[in-house]
Amino acid sequence: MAEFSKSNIIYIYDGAFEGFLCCVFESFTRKEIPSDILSQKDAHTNLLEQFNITTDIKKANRVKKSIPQKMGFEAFALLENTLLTCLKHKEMFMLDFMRLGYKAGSKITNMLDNNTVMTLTKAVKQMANEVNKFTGFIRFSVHGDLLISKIKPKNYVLRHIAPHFAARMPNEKFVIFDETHNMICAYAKGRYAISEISGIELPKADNEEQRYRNLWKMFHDTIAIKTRKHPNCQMTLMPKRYRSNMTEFQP
Amino acid sequence: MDISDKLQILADSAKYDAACTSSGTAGAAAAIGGIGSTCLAGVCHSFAADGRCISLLKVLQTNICIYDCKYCLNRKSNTKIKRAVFKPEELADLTIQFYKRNYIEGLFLSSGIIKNPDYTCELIIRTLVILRKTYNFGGYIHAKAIPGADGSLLRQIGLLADRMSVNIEMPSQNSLALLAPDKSKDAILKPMEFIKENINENMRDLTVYKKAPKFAPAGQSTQMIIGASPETDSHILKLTESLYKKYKLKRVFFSAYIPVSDNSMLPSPDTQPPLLREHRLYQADWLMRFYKFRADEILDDKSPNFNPFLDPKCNWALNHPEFFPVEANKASYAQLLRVPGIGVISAQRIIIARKHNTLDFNSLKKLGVTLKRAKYFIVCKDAPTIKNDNILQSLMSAKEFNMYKDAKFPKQLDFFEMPKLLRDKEHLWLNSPKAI
Ligand code: SF4
Repeated sequence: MAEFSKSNIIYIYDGAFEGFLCCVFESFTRKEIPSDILSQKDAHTNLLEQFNITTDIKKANRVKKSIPQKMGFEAFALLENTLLTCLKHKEMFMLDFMRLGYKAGSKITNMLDNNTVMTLTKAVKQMANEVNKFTGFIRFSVHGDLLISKIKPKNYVLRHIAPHFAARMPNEKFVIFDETHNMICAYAKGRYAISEISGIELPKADNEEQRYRNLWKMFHDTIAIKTRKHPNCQMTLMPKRYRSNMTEFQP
Repeated sequence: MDISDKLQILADSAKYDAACTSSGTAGAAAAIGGIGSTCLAGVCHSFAADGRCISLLKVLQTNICIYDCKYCLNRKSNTKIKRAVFKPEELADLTIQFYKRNYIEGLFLSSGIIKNPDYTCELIIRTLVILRKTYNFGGYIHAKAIPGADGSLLRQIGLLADRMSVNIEMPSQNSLALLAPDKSKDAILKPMEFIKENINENMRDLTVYKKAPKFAPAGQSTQMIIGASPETDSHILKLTESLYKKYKLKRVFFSAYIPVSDNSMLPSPDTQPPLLREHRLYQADWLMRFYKFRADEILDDKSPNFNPFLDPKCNWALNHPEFFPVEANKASYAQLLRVPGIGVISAQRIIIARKHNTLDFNSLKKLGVTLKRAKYFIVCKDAPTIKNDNILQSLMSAKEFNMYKDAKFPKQLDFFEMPKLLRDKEHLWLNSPKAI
């Protein structure tokens, strides 16, 4: 593998995991390391040395199969999850991780003192953190028999949040709108789907909904112990960015 | 009285209860046709202005009470508060509506004692039955066992709730007799024992018959009030340790006493709640539960109270120079855990990472070790431990260091002597109650 050469070319792919695997495929067949790998969404300007990689499921599957075989399931999960993070240049780190993994084998995920391995591990941990926060901080509004929610996450968290709420409220219908990435998750009757969407208009709260929001806000304000006020602490545990969609912090 | 008024009164009366975590249940999915699941990790739904996590709808069924515990707002003799009772239907509906909107993870239901302990229990049971049976609610429920209630009623609560708790209230029998004259030590310990027995028996049943109804599957916890009575930190810590052992408690919660009445037996109403002390107790509790410390290692008769300037782990490290330095590449997991700046996660990472590579300071840093603290206590491949006068500062948080700087006593000391000197100064941050 020593004869891989650094190239000025930027790979452009569709943003999906399979698409990324095709970039890996190209990198290995061309024995080159691209200067960056970008998803179509992020590649705004027409870059000079860009190489558009169309997803070829056959190629993708060949690479996909090799990952658990050569470096274990843990490495596979780490890669899949990294693509959902907001890590800058994640695709380049993932490519580097795979090059390392083919050599090191399944111990790759233990090599935490390696920069690339740690970068992936941390990015995924940070996403898991955000997922955990959102499972608590999401607020649904009830509109007829539909529950609606809007969030503004840094990472692509819907994939992990959806199963949580599907298990929590299997008999309800709900949608969660991710306004950062313009994506929406819709759930009904045991199945959910995640898709892209170009912005939606959320319905206004009716009287009944407003009544429960008021009750909740009142509870939230009442439960704090005044002699223990601690705004700094509240801020670290629940940074401002989460609050824009939380009913109890609306005026 | 409408729901809003009731909620305000009954949340206000419940807010001093410390327990808020909703963790500890093995994940359970929602029932068919039902709503609500419990998951492994506790979920925080919001944070109140005091920085405490809100995960449960924490209310009292009623704040009417026939008892007169001196430290409690709801005591019979307090004429200054409004009183209310939730109808079981009202409270069950509120819980479901909040749960659907993802405001909460479940219900934390406690109560003042209305009419008598049995009647109070029956109200609680009716609320829980509506939730579990009518709404098929599978979310988390933490219910208080009412001391003095009939065993069969407590058993019914246990079969409906995920967690039960009995507040031990005071850290000693004397203080309890003095401040909660209607409650005896036995009245508290009996239900605790009863719950433990039922949980044990239930575990045996479950191994035989998987579908046996579960009794308080998230276990039992308790809480005590700190700073209303004169016990030392060491006493409280030992009590905590024995409660964990004897009653297999999941958690012991501490609640800094907030003055609620002007009573000569209690700290005066202008006393600040001993928050630092409460914080140190939680740190020590953490060390006992996850770091394999024993209570008598953390505090003993020679130094019965916490060091205000150092957390208990750093304090221990400074008092045990013979234990250090440890070699990061060879030390056992237990040894690593004792190093200031190494936590559970970084210790686990060290064990994993050193299998394939000899670690140096740089790699430790990548593994999440706080070198600023750890470097004085650890050696590895290339680096010896660093001896440095700044050790004290680096072991203190910014807040602790400012406190230390402002404290008035000579400071040019060898750092190993520091904690000893502080012993007489320790009470400077404690709000010692008036002599009883
Ligand atoms: S029994 Fe409970 S509610 Fe009643 S006064 Fe004592 S602590 Fe307060």
